Amino acid sequence: MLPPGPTGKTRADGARETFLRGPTAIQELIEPMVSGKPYPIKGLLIYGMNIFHTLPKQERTRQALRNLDLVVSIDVLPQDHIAWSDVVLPEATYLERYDDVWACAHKTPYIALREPAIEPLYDTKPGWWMARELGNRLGLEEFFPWEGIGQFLNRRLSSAGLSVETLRAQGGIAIQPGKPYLADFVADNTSPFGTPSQKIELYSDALAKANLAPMPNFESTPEPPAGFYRLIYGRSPVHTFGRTQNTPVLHAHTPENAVWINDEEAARLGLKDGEKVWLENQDGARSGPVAVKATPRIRKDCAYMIHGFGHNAPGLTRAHGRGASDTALQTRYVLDPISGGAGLRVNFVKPVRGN
Amino acid sequence: MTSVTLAPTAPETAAGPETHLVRRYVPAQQVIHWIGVISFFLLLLTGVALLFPPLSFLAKGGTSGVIHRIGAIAFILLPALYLLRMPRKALELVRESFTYGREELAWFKHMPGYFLGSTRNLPPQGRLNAGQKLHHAATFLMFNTVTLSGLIMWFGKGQLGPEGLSAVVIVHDISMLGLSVMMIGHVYFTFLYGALSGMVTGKVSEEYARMEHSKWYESLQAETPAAAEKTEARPAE
Amino acid sequence: MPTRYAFSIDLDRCIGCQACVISCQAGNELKDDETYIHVGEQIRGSGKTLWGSFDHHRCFHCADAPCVAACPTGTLSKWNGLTIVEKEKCSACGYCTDACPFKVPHIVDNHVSKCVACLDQVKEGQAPWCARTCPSQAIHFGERETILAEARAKVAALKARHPNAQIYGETQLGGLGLLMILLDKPEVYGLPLDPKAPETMKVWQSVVQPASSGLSVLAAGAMGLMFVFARRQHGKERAEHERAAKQKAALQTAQPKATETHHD
Repeated sequence: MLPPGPTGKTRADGARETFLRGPTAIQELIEPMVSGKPYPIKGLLIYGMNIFHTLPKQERTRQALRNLDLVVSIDVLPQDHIAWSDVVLPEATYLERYDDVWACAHKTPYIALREPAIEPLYDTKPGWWMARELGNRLGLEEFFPWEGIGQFLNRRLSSAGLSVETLRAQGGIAIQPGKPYLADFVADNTSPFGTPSQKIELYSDALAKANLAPMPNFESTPEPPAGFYRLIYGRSPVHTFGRTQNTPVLHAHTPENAVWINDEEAARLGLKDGEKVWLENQDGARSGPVAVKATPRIRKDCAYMIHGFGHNAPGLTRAHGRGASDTALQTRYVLDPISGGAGLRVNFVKPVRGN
Repeated sequence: MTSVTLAPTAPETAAGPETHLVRRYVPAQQVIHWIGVISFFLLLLTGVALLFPPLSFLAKGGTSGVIHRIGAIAFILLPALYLLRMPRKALELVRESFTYGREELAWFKHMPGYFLGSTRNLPPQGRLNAGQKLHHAATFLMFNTVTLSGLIMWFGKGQLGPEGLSAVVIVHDISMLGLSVMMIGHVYFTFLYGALSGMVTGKVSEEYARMEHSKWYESLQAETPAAAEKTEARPAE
Repeated sequence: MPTRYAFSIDLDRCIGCQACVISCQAGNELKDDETYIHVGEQIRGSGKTLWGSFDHHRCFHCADAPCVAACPTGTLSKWNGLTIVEKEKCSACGYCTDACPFKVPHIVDNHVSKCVACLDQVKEGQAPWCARTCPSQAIHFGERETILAEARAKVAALKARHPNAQIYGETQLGGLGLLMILLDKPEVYGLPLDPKAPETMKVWQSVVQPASSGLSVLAAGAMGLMFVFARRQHGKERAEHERAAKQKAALQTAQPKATETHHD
C-alpha cells in the first residue's frame, strides 16, 4: 500500500479511494481540475501527451483546461490541444536530440544510448534543456549540476562502467547479464513475483484483503440499446496512436480511418461500403464524417474504428479533418477498481447520414 | 490570288512557251500540306525511336512521347482543317481518289515505266494520274488505321492487356510502314518529275503541266481569261 | 557463374503490417504516393467459415518476362533472375503496363515504376529492404534453388491446415523470380493459372517490328537507286518534249491563222 504524500492528503487521482493502487490514473485528474476536490489543481504541464485523443469525456477535458491558471504544452507536433495552451514549448524530435539512456530491465536487460542524428531543423529544443533551463529559473540549480547532456549521461553511465563514447563505440547498446529463467532466481533464493506467496497467484489474498474479488468473476456489461453498436477501437499497423497521422509517407498510405460495420448489418441498414456517415453515441455526442467499411470481419453488435484520426488541429496540415475521432464518442468510461485504468469500450454508437 | 498565265501570244520571242507557270495549288492547300509534312516527320521520328533499338536513346525521359502526341494532334486535324477551309475540294479529292475506270487501268499497265522516269507512252492524264489516286486512297485508309490505333494506345494505356496491346501496335506499325513507303514514293516522284514547286510556290512549269497532266492543262486553256480570273482557276488537288 | 535469385513470400506468415511497403518506399527513395508493393486483405467465407489472409501485388520477376520483351528502349531487362529497371532509359511509352499479365508496372514521373529488387543492396551482398524488414520473416530472398526448396518444405507443413496450399511461380512464365506460398488455389487470389505471352505479341516483336524497319529501309534504298536511272530517262523525255514543242511553234509561226484558233 502506498503511504500518504507529503501533504498527508489522498492522491488527486483517487488512488486508494476509488482504485487500489498503480501509477497515476491520468483521466482521474480531470475532475479535481474542475471541482477542486480532493484539492485544486491549478497548473498543468502536458509533455508529449495527446490529451484530446487519449482521455475520455472530451467536454470535461475542455472545462478543465479553461479552469486551469496555466497550461504549458511540450510537443514535437502541433497537436489538437496546442491551441488550448498558454505556453507552448516546441520540442526537437527524437532524431534531433539526446534523451536519457534507455535502461530496460526485461529478461535480457540492456542500456541503450539515445542520440541525435542531426541538429534541430527548426527553433526547437530537447526536453533535457527545457527541464534544466526551467529548473535554473525556478531556483533549483542544485538539481542540475551539469553543463551539458553529455556530462549528465556520463555520470549516469559511469555507475555501469560505461560512458557515452564507450557506449557509442559498441553500437549504442550494452547488454547486461540478465536472469531470463526462473532457475536463476531459485538459485538466488529470490522470486521475480512480488506476491505474498512469491508465486503466480490465481487466487489473490492481497485483493481479498482489499475487499476486491480475489479471482476474476465475469460481470455482465450492458448490451447496446436497439439500433446501436458497441464502439470498439484498435490499431492499424501503419499508424502509432494519434501521433503519426500527419507523417507524409504514412498519411499517403492510410489517410483516414473507417468505421467497420458487419456487412450483413450494413446491407440491412442500406449502407454502402465506402459511404460516409456520422456516428452518434448514447449521449448524443457525434463524430465524423467517416467512411463505412462493410466487412464480415466484425461482429454484428459492434462497430470498430482505428484510433487516432479525426484531428482538429490546423497545424497538422495533412491529418486535419481526416477520418473521425473515436475518443470524441467516449463520453463514458468505467474505472477499474484495481489499477485505476479506464475501460473505454462501454460506449454505443449508431451511424447517421448527414450532419 | 494571282492570275493564271496562259500560253504566250508571241511565239517568236526568245523565251519559249515552257518558261511560264501554271497555278496548281492555292496557299491554303500548300499550308495544309506542309503542316502534314512536319507532323508526319515528327511522328515518324519519335515513333521510330520505339521501333528501332539503335535509335531508342532518342526516347529517353518521355519528351519524344510528348512530341509524338503534339504531332498526332496536328496530323489528326488535317482532314478536318481541309474540310472546313475547302469543303468542296476536300470531298472531290476523296471521291476522285476512289474512282477508277478503264483509263486508270491503262495507266497501271505503264506503271513500271512511270517508276523509271518514262511518261511518253502514257495516255494524256487529268489532274491526278492513276498512281496519285492510288497514293491518296492508300494514304486515306492508312491515315484512319494509324489514327484509330494510335488513339487507342494513347487513351487505353494500361487497359488493353497483352493481347490488346500487341494487336493495336501491329496495326499501328503496319499502317505507318505503309504510310512511310507511300511517303518515300511521293518524295521520289516529286523530285523525279520536278513537281516540288507546286507546293512551294503553288505553281508548276507549263512544261510539267503539258508533259504530266496534259488533259488538266488543256482544260485550263479552255476557260476564257476572264472566267479564269474569277474562279480559282481549278487548281489540282 | 551467374546466380539465379528469387524472392519467396509466405502468405501464412504475412500479418499485413505494411512494413515491407513502407521500407521499400524509404529504401528506394520513392515519393510518398508511389509504392512498388501493395498488400491487401483477403477474406473468404463468413460467420463460422470466415477466414482471411493478406495478399501481395508486386513484380513477380518472371524468367520469360513479357515486359522485357515489350520494352522498346531496354529499360527493363533480366539480371540474374531479376527483372531490373534502368530508369534513365525509359521513354514512358507504357507498353510494359499492358504487357504484364499481372498488371504490375505503372508509369510514374515519366518512368516505369515497379520492384527493382533493391539492386544496389543485392550487389553489395544484402537482401532487398522488404526481406530485411519483414517482422514475421514472411519474405525471403536468395538463390532460387534454396528459396524453392524452403518453400516446398513450408507448403508440406501447411497442408494439414490448408489442404490447397501450394507454391505459385514454380513453372509459370519460365519460372517466376517471386515464389508465392498460397494458402489456397491461385483463382482464389485472382492469379492466372498459367499466364503466357500471347501469340500476337510474338508476331509483333519477331515479325512486324523487324519487317517495318527492314522494309522501309529497303524501299528508301530501292528508290534512291532507281532515281539515278529514272531521272536520266525523264531528262531524255523532257529534251524530246522541248524539241517537239519548238517544232510546233516554228510551224505555227508559219501559219498564223492556226495559232489564233489554237488559243481560243
